[in-house]
Amino acid sequence: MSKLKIGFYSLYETEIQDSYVGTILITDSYGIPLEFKCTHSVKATGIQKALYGERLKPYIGIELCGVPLIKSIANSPDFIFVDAEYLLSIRTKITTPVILIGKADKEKLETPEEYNKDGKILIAHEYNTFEPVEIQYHPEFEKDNKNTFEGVFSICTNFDLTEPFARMKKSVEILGKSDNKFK
Amino acid sequence: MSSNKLSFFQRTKLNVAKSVAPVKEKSSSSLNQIDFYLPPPSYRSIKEIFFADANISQNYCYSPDSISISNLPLLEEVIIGENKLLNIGFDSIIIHDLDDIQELINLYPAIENFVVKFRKPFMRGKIYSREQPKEIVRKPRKIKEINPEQEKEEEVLIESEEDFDKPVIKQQYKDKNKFDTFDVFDLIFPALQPPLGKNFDNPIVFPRPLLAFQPEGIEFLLDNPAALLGDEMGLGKTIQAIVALKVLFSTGKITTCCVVCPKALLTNWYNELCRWAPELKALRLEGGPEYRRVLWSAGAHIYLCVYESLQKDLEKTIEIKNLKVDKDGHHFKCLVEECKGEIDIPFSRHYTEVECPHCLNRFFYPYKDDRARTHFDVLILDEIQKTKNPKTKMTKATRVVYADYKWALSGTPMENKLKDLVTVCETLEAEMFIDMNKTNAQEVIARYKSKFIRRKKDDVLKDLAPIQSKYEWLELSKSQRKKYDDAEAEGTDDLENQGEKVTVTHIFALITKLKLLCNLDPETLESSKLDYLKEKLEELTSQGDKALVFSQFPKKTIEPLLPLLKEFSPLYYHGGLNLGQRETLVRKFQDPANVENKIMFLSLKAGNSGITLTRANYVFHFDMWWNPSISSQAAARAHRIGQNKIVFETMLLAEDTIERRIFDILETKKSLFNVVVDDLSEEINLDKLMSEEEIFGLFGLKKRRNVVALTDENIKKDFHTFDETEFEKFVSDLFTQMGYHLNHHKKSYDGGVYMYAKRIRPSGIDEVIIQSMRVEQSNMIVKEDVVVKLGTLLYSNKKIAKALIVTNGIFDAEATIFAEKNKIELIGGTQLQEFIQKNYSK
Repeated sequence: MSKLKIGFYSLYETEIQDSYVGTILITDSYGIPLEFKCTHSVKATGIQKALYGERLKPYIGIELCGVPLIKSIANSPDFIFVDAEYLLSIRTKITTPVILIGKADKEKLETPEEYNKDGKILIAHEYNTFEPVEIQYHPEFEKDNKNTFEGVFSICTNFDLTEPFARMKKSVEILGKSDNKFK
Repeated sequence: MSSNKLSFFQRTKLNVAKSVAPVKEKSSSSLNQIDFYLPPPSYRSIKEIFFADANISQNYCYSPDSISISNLPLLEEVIIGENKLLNIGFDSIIIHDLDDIQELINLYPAIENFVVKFRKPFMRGKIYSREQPKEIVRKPRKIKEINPEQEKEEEVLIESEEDFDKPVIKQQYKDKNKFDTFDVFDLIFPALQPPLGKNFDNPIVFPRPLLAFQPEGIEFLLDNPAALLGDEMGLGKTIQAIVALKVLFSTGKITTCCVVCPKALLTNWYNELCRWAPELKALRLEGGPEYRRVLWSAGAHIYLCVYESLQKDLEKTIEIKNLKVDKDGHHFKCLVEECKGEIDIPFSRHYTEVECPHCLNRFFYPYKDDRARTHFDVLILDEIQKTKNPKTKMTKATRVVYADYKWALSGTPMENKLKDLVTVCETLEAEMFIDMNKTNAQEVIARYKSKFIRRKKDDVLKDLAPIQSKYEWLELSKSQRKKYDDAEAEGTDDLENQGEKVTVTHIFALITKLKLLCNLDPETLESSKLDYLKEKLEELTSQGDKALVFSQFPKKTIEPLLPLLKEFSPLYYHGGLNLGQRETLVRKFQDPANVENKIMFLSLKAGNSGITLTRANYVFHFDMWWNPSISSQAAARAHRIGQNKIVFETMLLAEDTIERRIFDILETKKSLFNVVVDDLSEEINLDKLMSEEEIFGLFGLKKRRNVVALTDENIKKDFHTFDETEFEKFVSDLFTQMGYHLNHHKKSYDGGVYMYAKRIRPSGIDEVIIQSMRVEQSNMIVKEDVVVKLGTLLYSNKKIAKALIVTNGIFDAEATIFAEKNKIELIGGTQLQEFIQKNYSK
């Protein structure tokens, strides 16, 4: 289990409104980066925003950026974490298990069994090594739970599984300062 | 355009639709034409209306595959399936609702599919590693710790510098790849690393935990763009500076840094950066001027250079009179005599051709001979006391470079030297003492106090282990490198030419010769180890500390070094001194009132157990000991009862030499030290620690051929015709044939050789010691004391199941009785032939 490769995928809105950059980070089971890839910024025009409406972000996040990025990665991950619910649907386009991850709902922490009702899984550390997180699988891919849960559990004490998203965001900011194509 | 098309546009809210010229087939109109026809304000309002009034429902885009309108900026074509429908005659279709689409389809019945397209974005990135980092398992090491209450030394298990079972961030940028492309994805690599931890305590990121006082120093650097870190030597100023750099790089606050240091410390900086910040690319600015020019222009996070190189690489710029440097760039008066107008050159224009705004004279700035960069995000000046004279070119060079953060590191106390202090501070911040009296010590100190932090070892004593050890890898000087390479090549050729006659003794002789060259060049007396030592001695002696320097080579290393370090008035403790002289020397060194003699040189033979030199708390090993017990013993001259300071022990080793090769092999065999090496002989014990293959392999040679083959003929021979080595080889081969794997050999100092061997059997693993003892005549007796000594060895190692002595002599009765009682098998005399007959197979 210690040789896992873990993917983190997210779509970031840059400092320019309605401009998005898709990013994927692959790390080892300790969060040490192995590969990073991102798209140039995608700016939706008025027509596109109008036509796509609420589907704009999912379309950009999944079809335009997500699937091509994941397919272009050299270090194929064993599973991919995403930090937004709409990105979970990327699972329908790829074969790699996708897991939605986020900070646990503090109100629900006192009744962990509530999590199971939502289809979410709570991961809390006995010694509060890291803050509790909740994970969720795509409902159409129940097998992902069985196939990846052991791996997720084996790494959840190595590092804060939500933290890499902050690194990716910071990296996009730095890229944007260096090159306008990422703004 | 047909009336139907006009009708289509008329349904829009845009009056502009009417003003669009009727589009004929095979013609098109553009937005410019609209501009032409309409006054601009109308156009602007059109644009607003155009988008604001779009009445699109969520379901409009009922499937991304079913609507096709061109991308940007305005519609120029309609795509039908795979085919373009050109020149449909209008540049924009204002879509308000589904009816509009339907209208379009009615007008153009050939249209089957509409697809709203986005341009596919470019993807860029970098692969940082294809392999998983290896997990390294290191065992804690034992040291002797002084227990003042019990007043005796006891062995204590302490944590080694490396943690047990820890993941490792691999060094990303190797020296051999220094000219590889360095792009934005290298710039963000530090930001992609795991976080450093709240108190810089993430074990994944750091090779060892920081000491408790070090985070304070790091925070101090981060909070002060101009800062002087003045911790005493040995408290980790370099590490604190590196961690502060890691923070700034990882948060994206900086992208470049320059570290300027004395020559002797360049390799140390590079090694520490590789260890503490493997995610950063560090370039060493070494070599000739043009090579440095290439290096300065290569991409990197950190540029490492020495003061002398920086001075040379900014030589012309330094000479510009009244040059002012600030965040906006360089400011000076035009060099044209008739002009003298003020010129301001921002950093973005450096290394381009610029023009004086007054006389229009064009020139390249900085001058073409100057190669160094003039602007960094961070500038670190190590041992800044070297620039205490404001008039020297070296000091001026450090002031030509601008950096948002300027940090100085120095363990040398400067509070008592006001002028030096002022100069150093003004290098960090030019206007620190502006509008005040710089000769007033109190005012000066009050001004610079907030930018200075200094911790003494005594202050942080409780945070440190009793002894701090480290290896310092140094590059050979130019002349040393040449001599070393020539000697190694010549020596290796000589060994190869000797063929089968080569023994490990020959190889040891070559190793000794090369080790001497690693210490210094005997002709020029150049020595990178000496340069490093001098730097450190200057610092530690200025703090009032003293040092011991050990070497294996009194005549060829210590004696040539003595005059080169005369400013420290070194004492020399050697075997040629009588007892009285030794005692006098020790008393002199230990005398608290003696501030003149700051260092003592010793060879271990002479400086062995029994002498106390606790006046020193810095120990340097000028050459490598294969046996770690020796370095412990040496350090114990200072680290013993009576020592009330932390002892800092440094091993000086030469990179890319025989010292490195042997070190790397021995590192993998640390566990052997406890089992095998139990004596403190100064002689090289490599043959006990490395196999013959490994020793020969140090110079790319193959193990020598069998001296005596285990053959039908040889087994019938009289063993007295064999010499010691041949007999040992014969016995060794015999046991190998019996299925034993012989691990290593060790002299028994009673004329024999111990061989440690293992054999895997169905019942388990047999571990045995075999003593091979060849005697001159077959009736020579091997006495009880030999057997007793072997018995002692047997019982000191619980893994060993039994011992055997194989000799061509005979055993006395006492020896036989002792052996029977103690699991020792005796094979000698006539038994030897029987043993061979029984176990030898063709």
